[in-house]
Amino acid sequence: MTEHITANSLTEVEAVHGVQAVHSAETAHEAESSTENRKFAMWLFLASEVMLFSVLIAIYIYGRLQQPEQHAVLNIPLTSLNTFLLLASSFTVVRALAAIQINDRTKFLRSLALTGLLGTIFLVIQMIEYSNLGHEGLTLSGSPTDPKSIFGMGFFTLTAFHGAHVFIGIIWTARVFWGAFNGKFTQEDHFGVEFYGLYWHFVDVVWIIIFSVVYLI
Amino acid sequence: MNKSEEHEHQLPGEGTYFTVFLVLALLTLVELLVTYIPVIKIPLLLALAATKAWLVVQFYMHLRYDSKVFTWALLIPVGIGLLIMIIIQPLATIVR
Repeated sequence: MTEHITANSLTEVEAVHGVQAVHSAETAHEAESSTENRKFAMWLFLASEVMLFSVLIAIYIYGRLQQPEQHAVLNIPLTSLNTFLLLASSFTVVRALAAIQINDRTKFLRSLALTGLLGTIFLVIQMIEYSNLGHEGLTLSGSPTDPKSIFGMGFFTLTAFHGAHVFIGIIWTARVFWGAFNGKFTQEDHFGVEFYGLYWHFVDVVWIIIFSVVYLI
Repeated sequence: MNKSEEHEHQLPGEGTYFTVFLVLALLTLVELLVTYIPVIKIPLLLALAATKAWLVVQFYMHLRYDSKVFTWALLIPVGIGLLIMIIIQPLATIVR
């Protein structure tokens, strides 16, 4: 009788463990699906951004073809420096991700702070560039049908729109940094960092194209 | 090991990220040098920019390690974007 009860109890315990294992596997699967879905949503958002920037680049190319001589006023050395800064900021973002994956919180926080700093310097240099171009007579103002304004309109709309994305990226960096400072991200749970990284790297990719199409060609 | 953990283990380390950064910086220097070449400058610069962008997308945005659906989510709008860039030029001239 006692043996029968013990056998029954063991079966029940095994059943409970089995249910728990299935439940745990389901939870893990749901979490993974949620992560993949959020990542896919971000890629779809970035796809819409690709379309938006494509139109702005197309408008710039049109202005450039109308006024090729205006390109001479652009400051290549200054924007080359900006390119290196943005490339370095992309590296610091992945460095932050690599750091939280091995639970190195100091490196994680420092890398994020450095990213914010590099992004800010990028914007300051862009403001200096705009100021210099204004002195050279290149401005955004004027009628779109006026051939003299087409190059400036295309140039400033494209680069300032990108600059606005960098600004949003800096705010997002500050938010991730604040969360990291308060222990929000862990070695196991750091999807928020990867998610934010996708946006920051996209802004870098757009600049790579702008640097080549707008400044170098 | 679930898929998420497998993905984590597949991701490159800081060493790979730094190598990619060095390659990106080197390609940027090459771009600057190419501007002094009088011929085939534009195709070279476009190819270099595309290579740099692809490196960032593949290694920093982890597209290399993610689902192929994400790759298509990027490539399709890039293709449409390129078409827009080409089509808009004669259209804008006609409209003006």
